[in-house]
Amino acid sequence: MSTPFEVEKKLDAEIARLKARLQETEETLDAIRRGEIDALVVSRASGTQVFTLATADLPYRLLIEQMQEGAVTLNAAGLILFCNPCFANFVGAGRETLLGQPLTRFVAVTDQPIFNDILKQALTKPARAEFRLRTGTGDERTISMSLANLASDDGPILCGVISDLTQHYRRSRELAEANRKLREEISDRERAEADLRQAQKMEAVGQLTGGLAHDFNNLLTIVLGNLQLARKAIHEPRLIGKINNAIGAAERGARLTEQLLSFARRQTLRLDAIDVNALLPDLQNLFQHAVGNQIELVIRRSPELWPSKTDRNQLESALLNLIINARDAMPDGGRITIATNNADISEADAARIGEMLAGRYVVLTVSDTGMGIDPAVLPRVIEPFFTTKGVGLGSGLGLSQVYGFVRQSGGTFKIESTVGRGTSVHLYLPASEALPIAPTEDLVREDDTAPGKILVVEDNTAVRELAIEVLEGLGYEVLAAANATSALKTLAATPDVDLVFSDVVMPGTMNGIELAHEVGRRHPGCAILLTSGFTATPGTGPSGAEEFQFLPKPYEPAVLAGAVAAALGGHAMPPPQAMKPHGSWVGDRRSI
Amino acid sequence: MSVRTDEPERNTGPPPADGRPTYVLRLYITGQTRHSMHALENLKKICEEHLRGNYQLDVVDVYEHPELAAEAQIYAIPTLVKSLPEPLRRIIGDLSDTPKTLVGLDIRPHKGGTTPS
Repeated sequence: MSTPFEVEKKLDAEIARLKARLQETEETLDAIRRGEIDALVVSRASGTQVFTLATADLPYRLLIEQMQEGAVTLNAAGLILFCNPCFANFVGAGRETLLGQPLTRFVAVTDQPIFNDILKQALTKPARAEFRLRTGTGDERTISMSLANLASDDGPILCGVISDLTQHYRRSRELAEANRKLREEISDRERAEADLRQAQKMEAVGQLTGGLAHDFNNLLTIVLGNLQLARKAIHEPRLIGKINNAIGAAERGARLTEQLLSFARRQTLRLDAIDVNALLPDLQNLFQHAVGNQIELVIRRSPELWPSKTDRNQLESALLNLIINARDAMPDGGRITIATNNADISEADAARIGEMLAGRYVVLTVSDTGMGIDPAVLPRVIEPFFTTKGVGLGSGLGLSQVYGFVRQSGGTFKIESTVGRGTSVHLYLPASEALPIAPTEDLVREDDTAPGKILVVEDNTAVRELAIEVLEGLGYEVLAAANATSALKTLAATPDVDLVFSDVVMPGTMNGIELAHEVGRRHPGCAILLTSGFTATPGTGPSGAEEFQFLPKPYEPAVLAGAVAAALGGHAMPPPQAMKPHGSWVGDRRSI
Repeated sequence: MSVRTDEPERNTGPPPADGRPTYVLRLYITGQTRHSMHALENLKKICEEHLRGNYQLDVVDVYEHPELAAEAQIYAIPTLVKSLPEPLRRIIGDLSDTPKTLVGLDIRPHKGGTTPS
């Protein structure tokens, strides 16, 4: 039993609880009255429902009204129950006219089945599809529509969001285009890097072969000179025959070293303005003879061909090399075409072809219908001693000579080849601004000797002795020195020397060119003739060497005689016949 | 902005040693409707100013969970329910009247110095 005190306490507590409930209820009513609530929660037998007050969903409405995507609600039949301004703008109609309209009215005719499908699918689960909608201006744009069923007591209501994909696709296309350009740039760069590596390799091989050829030229000068001296001294016909054989072999050796130098771009080039069209008919017989009767030789001369700046002899050698290669590629016969063309090469063309500058070029193309070159070995064909021919059939120097020669001329060459179809080699020779010169007859004046005092400067003892013997045999008084320093000493002691005949590449503090300048300064009356088997030393040779007479090694006694006489006579020398002509000093000072 | 008042506040100091917060609150809203968002905003401000680190707040969207509203005897949205410290209190509206809300949450004593038991 509760005491009256306890009852009173319970009643107080109950009163306080009821007060609190009352206060809460009043506050709820106050809040409703003040409009501070968004929704009422109504519990029914069927479950709890939330009724949102009319103004409470304003943020949602704003979101739908102002969003940049189209929003629609549709009934199950696809009639528009609601749409936002973005959608109305898109289809170019007033909102009030759209309500109650079927959305299919705006769907592209061919895409209607897609729309009907998504409408059906959305009744059971959210669906998405892409199709085209007609805009207010009449064009059709691809859109993406997502559609979901907001099932209500009154039946299905489909709620859809429509995004215009035009921008998206444009952006994708732009990205694809940017990507394509990037890939192109990458492959351009890779090609340029490959070209550079190839050029560096050829440069290194060139330096090696140039050095080799230089040493061989010294040896061949000794062999050839001594053989010719011996031939003069011997009268036994049987021995003379043997000596002639030996001279023939040494001369073939000299031609090989000449090709090596050509590849190394260290030969002496006589760059003249040459009309290649005029040159070809003269060569046709020679070429036809070289290729035989089984092969048809066609020459196509482009009219109004520009003159090209090149060395006639080297060009002839290059063409002969190419024609022999073409012949060897066609053992069963075929056709060789030599074509000439003008080409104005743009920067872009130059970059594509590689190893050349933009400008005007004369293009000589030698094409065959032969077996073609395997793509795997194509990059190696210009390497010296690389050959696809059998042992003893080719030196492997032909294309090396062609490559070295055109590069030294300031041009380049490209090979195109398809296995089984044939090969085309294009020589790009710089066009010359000057008028072409008429071919001149080569002259030798073997007996053009005069008395005089000559100082021979040569570090190689055998070569020096040979030169002394030849010159003494011609009636000159000969002094000798092994290097520039001792040459200057000799000159100081014997000031009446008429000619200094000096090698270019010598050990010691001074090379032949520096010596020549020094002699010119101290003894202005003294003539100078330079010789070398290594005709240019890019980067090390002093400039101004062009002003001296020059005789390439190996030289024969008769050629030496002519060169010395010309140097002493003070007039330009006629080009000798048997060996390379001596010309002005043209070194390749360009680097790749 | 803090609200200045002469009335002393109840102890709302640091959370007790067991790490459990003193105040357990649950706010019932209907998505991002206007008063619901205001209520949430106002409540966060009050909690940070007066109950920092010593409260647990759940937000219930009754659009998603109407049954939770029915269970808690919620009639109007937004409603804030304080289940701890006892007694349980419901505060209806957007909680923009801060002094009233502080009283409702028992952070400040009721007028006349009494508190409902």
